[in-house]
Amino acid sequence: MKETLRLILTLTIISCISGLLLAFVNDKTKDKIAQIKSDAKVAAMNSVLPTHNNDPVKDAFIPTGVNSNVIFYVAKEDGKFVGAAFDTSTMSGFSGYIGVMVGVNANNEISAIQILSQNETPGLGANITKTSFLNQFTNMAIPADSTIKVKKDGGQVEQITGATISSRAVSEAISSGLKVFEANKGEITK
Amino acid sequence: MKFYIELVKGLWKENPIFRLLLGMCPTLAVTTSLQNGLGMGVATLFVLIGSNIVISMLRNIIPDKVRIPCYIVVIATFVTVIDLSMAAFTPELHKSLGIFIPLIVVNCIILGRAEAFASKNRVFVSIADAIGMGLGFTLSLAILGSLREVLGAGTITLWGPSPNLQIKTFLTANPAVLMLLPPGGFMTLGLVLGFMNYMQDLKAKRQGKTFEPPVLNGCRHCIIACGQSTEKPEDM
Repeated sequence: MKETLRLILTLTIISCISGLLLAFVNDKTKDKIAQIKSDAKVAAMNSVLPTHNNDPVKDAFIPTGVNSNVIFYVAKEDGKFVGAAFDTSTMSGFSGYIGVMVGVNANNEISAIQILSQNETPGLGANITKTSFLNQFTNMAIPADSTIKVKKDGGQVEQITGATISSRAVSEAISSGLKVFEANKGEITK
Repeated sequence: MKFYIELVKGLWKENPIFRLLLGMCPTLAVTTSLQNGLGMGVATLFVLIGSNIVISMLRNIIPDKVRIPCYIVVIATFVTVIDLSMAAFTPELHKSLGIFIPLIVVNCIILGRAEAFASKNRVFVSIADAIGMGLGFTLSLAILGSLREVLGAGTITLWGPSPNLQIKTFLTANPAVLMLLPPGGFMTLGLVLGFMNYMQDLKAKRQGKTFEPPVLNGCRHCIIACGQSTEKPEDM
């Protein structure tokens, strides 16, 4: 009985001290981490949008009624619609979650894309963040069925060698976002 | 002197990757480039120093029956601290190592050192052991990472996307991508291990002996009486 108590007490005390230490470190770093994340998001948004002179975060459009939580950051030049950015994601990457920021312009084209977060294999799937892959999407016309596919599946995107799954996942993420965009196009572009 | 002996043994004689064959999962997974290998090695080095210090300090307090959960809690705490600090202060490196930082928790080198060394040695020598093992791990990852990067991508990346820190070789145009894929990891590791064994045989032959692999430490919890341990095995 006494020994059991000692086992429980030791582990409890060690866990409590660990918990306190983690709470302290989390408190010190959480603002900075949140800041880095939101900075990265705004930077990604600006890099995929055409030149504009409004604040897209303020003019954001949240679709109602659609079963989706995509937010559209609408870019305007002198009050006229020039493009929109939205972040979309998929779970079908090689290591699960991939977040993508997609920009569309007024000519019914994808203006550019950026990878927001991914955990793909370093050196292979992680190459989806390289410009050689991302540049293919610049000024790509949005297909009639708003579905982007890799060449292996009969589409237009050149997949990365050894990382077809990651390339396919990015295309899927973009397609799912584009569908919401097309459904709400009238509201967003007005 | 003891400090020095414990420090250098991790580099060659008891090198965690090439001699003890510990931590194979992160070794095969992250060594796709020199930069990833170095980043992973340094993160592991910090966790190892922290956990060895704390576990060595608590070695007389932690009861034997709950020692593994206690060690894991201590190690997990250090890993989370490193993970959060890296996310806040070196976001670039944190991004490139991704999932492998939290996975340091289950890296058996760290638990192995806690169990085999820190739990029965003074704090001072435990620090030497942690630094030696950590550096040995880092160097091994760097060697494997640069070999695989040269063969598989044709480049050597010291740091980030900056072209000044990246050396291109004649392989850049036509790299053997296989070396970056999982089979390439096994092949590189196997060839390096074979080469090291060959060198050791050669060295022993020159001295007119046959090579005997060193008997490893850490008999404390072994119940098989092999006659090598000077310590009495404890009751299980």
